[in-house]
Amino acid sequence: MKEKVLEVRDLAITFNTSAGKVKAVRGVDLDLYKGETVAIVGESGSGKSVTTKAIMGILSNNGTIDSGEIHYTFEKEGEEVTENLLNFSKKQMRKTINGKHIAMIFQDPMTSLDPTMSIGNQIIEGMRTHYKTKKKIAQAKAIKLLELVGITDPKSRMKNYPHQLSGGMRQRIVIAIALACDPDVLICDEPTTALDVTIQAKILELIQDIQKKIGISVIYITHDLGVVAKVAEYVNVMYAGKIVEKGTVDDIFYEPKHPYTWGLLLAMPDLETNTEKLVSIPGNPPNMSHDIVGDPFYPRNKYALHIDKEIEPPLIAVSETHSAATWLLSEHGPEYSLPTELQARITRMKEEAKHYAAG
Amino acid sequence: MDKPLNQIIQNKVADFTFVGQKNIKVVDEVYEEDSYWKQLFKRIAKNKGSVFGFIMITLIAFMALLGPVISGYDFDEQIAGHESMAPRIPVLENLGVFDGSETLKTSTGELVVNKYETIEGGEEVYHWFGTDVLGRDLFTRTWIGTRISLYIALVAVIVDVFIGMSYGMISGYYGGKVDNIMQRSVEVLNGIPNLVVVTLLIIVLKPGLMSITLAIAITGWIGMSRVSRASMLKLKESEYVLAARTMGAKDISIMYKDILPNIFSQLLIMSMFSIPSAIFTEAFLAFVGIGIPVPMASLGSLISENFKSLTTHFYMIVPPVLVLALLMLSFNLLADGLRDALDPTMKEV
Amino acid sequence: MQQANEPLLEVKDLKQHFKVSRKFTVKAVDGVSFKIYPGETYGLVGESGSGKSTIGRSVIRLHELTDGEVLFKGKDISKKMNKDTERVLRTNMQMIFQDPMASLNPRKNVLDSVAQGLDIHGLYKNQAERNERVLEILERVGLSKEFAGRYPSQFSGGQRQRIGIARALIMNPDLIIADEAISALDVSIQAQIVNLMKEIQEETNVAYLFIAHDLSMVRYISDRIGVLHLGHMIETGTTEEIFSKPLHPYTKSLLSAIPHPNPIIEQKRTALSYDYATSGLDYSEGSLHNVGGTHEVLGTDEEVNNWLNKYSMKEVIGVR
Repeated sequence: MKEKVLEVRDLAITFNTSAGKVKAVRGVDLDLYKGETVAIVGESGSGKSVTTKAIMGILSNNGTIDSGEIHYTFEKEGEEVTENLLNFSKKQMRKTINGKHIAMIFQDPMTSLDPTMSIGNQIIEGMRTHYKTKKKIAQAKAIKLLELVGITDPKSRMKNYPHQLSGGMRQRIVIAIALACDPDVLICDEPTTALDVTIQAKILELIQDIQKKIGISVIYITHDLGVVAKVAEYVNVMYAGKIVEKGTVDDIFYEPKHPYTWGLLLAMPDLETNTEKLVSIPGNPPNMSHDIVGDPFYPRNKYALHIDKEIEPPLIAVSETHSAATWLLSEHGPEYSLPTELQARITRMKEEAKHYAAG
Repeated sequence: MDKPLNQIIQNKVADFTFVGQKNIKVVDEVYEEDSYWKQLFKRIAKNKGSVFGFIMITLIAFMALLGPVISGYDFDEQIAGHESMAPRIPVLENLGVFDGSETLKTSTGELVVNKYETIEGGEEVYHWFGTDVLGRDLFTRTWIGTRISLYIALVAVIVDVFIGMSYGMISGYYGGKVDNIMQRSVEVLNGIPNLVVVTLLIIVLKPGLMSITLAIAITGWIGMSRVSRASMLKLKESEYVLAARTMGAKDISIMYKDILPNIFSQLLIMSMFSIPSAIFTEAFLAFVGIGIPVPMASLGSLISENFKSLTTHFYMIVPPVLVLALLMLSFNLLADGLRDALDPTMKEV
Repeated sequence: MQQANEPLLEVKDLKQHFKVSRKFTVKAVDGVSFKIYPGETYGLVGESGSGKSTIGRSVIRLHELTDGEVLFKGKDISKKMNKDTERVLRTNMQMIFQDPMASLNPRKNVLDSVAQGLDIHGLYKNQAERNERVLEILERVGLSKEFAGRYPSQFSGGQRQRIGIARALIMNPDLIIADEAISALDVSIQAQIVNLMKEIQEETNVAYLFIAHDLSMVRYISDRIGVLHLGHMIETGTTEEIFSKPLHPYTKSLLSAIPHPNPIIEQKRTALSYDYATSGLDYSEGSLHNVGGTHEVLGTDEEVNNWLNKYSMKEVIGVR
């Protein structure tokens, strides 16, 4: 039985901006088990980054947690405890959690690294702060970490500065820094978006390798379904501050149930389809400073029901692992079928998968 | 699904039908936002210092306009017999202060003297700030002086903005050789101490309102050009500038129509900081004797004249000093608030 | 999408070298040639450092050219232009930029931003006509007329990109250069914008130079493709030719890097890797060889023969 490492329940966050109050997150439940890879998929304004920032305790000052709990299980002074991270003060988060237990890497490796510090110093900084490791020991560990992330000639790289390295190498260094204090959880916020396509796969494979070796749990935040297909075991699709579909990666790609997920899947051009027109989701993500009545996806949903206008659908279970927030799944819902292009694509993918397994 | 929700939807079973795509909103919403100026105003209003500064400046400007009118005296009216009189203010004199008496230190001890009692018709005479050694009403002179000081400062700064802004923008926009030549020239100019330049100019042009304004303007524009050039360098590679270039816009048009509105805030801040500096330079010039010629008054010349009476009738120097200090402080506070509201990255300026 | 005999744009041996210091010159573009015909979409693909953006900006004369020739509608726009040529260039060739946040002047409202081209060249009789044309274009790109008085900060990324397209479109250009125009947008908005661009092409027969690094989108919109690496055009041909038989190892690695939306496969395969330094190739020594139809590859005779003989699609995709 897998142990649960992180449990988020009913998280709601509001931001006070010059345009009014923005309800960025409106009730999110999330689970992370040991050694698992979870992906949070969404576009701008979905609330995916804000959720993980709340876990790390790095919300900006104008954000308030309206409700919710974040239960994190970790080892404290030799004992295993579960505590609500939202009760921690910023100082406590910095001392006990950030870097030590939960580490985070961001999108742009250029701005994630300090241009005035050498690589070596940036890696050992965390160790010295959290564990008061002696300099020599920390440096030896740093060299080992550089090897782990695939940097050639680590000893001489320790003295290099960020501007002397390429984008892919910088992102590897960022990962090394994140792993320096042996965290249990790694949160990756769009880690490959700013990198060249040929490097993207390499970085994802690297994180997977490290996961196998060390056994850390990883949360990916991304808008790229290609990344999700490659690395995720469990997927949460977010829209307008709530999770609209959650399930294993097979559930989401082969049996998607929410019209937004259909739209996302179709928006990825497939190397096989020879269609004249890409099926796209009309309209724009909603303005989160306005109160939402009913289903926030209503004005963009080709499969909308009248009831979507009045009542927001809750998550309705499809199987033990899979649920989606759409009234189409309710017992009162009408007969419907997936968009034809998506249907065709899924059938084709299942065929390919069979061939791949066979030959 | 929880029970209450279940019950609600039992009543709405008929609504579980397709809308048929009539719901699709292709026309999007727009994010509401206050206008640029309103947002700015709100942010400045939050800073108590700048609000104080703004109110002070308005008050002083108001008094500068109104003061000389309501006092009943002319600024250059030398009234015989009214020399060196202490301040006397109508209502407050009943409370024991500003009743026209002053304590003089003589060789034999302290002596309380009230000139209003000795002169003819003194009961009806009021000088709110007192008079100077030539019998001129200080209240009137202080506010006339403020007028002149403010005028010089504002004109000088406006000229600075126009010259400095254009110089910096052209230098930054064209870059390369043009920029090199322009900046090296400026550096040579900057190397000459301001005071030397100003002094020489005034000696050549003879002291007067115009010449002093010109002298202050000539030394102040360099800072403005630096700010303008820095902003231009930052913005000239922006994509909207490139877009204008791809559409064939002329350089001048790009500089003044596309880029200027975006650096306007920087210039505003810089000029707000330049005003107290200009006021002070003028005051300093007056103090060393090459300022506004008599009988005109500016804050600096007032301080200079009345400095001589510092130990005997110190009340004479207080009004101009207070007004000068308050004016400079208020502009600095307002400029600080503006800078924080408009552009937090300019803290080093 | 007609193919006329006269190319609309002809780039011959374009070179762009930037001097970084006395000793070091960056050869951003080192001898690139291609043609674009009226009404077609040419996809220019490459990663960072390939020179694709530099080519786009050089063609529209934002840079001075180090060497080479660019002919637009028969006129030479690579050297100093006279007034007429300049006017032809500035009114018939337009550009859409990558960053929707930066491509609009924050202090200009939508009406003024979109009408900028018209204002510069005085293409209208009076204000009413100008405003009418702007509103028409706004509707064409899917924006409400009410947006005309608003400022860029009030719009989302996708909406701003539409405003950028409106600005280019109002000039009725023959060629639009889209410099990574969709890279900074959300995935579902990318599809919207690409569809819009295709519709406009069908209506107005405008040609696109579509610069991108995402091969999957490029395949969808382009008729012909050129693959760039380190300032050289290493492979070119129709979309069909490139995708069905990629020959150059770099092209293969690019194709291989496209993720499959099929988790079972995607999780098991590894992408092909390619490193110029260790590949043994020297781009400056190779020349373009025709390998069928319009398909061309850069390499020495030996290398090209090698690739033709050892060709295997399985290697590229990893399956099938």
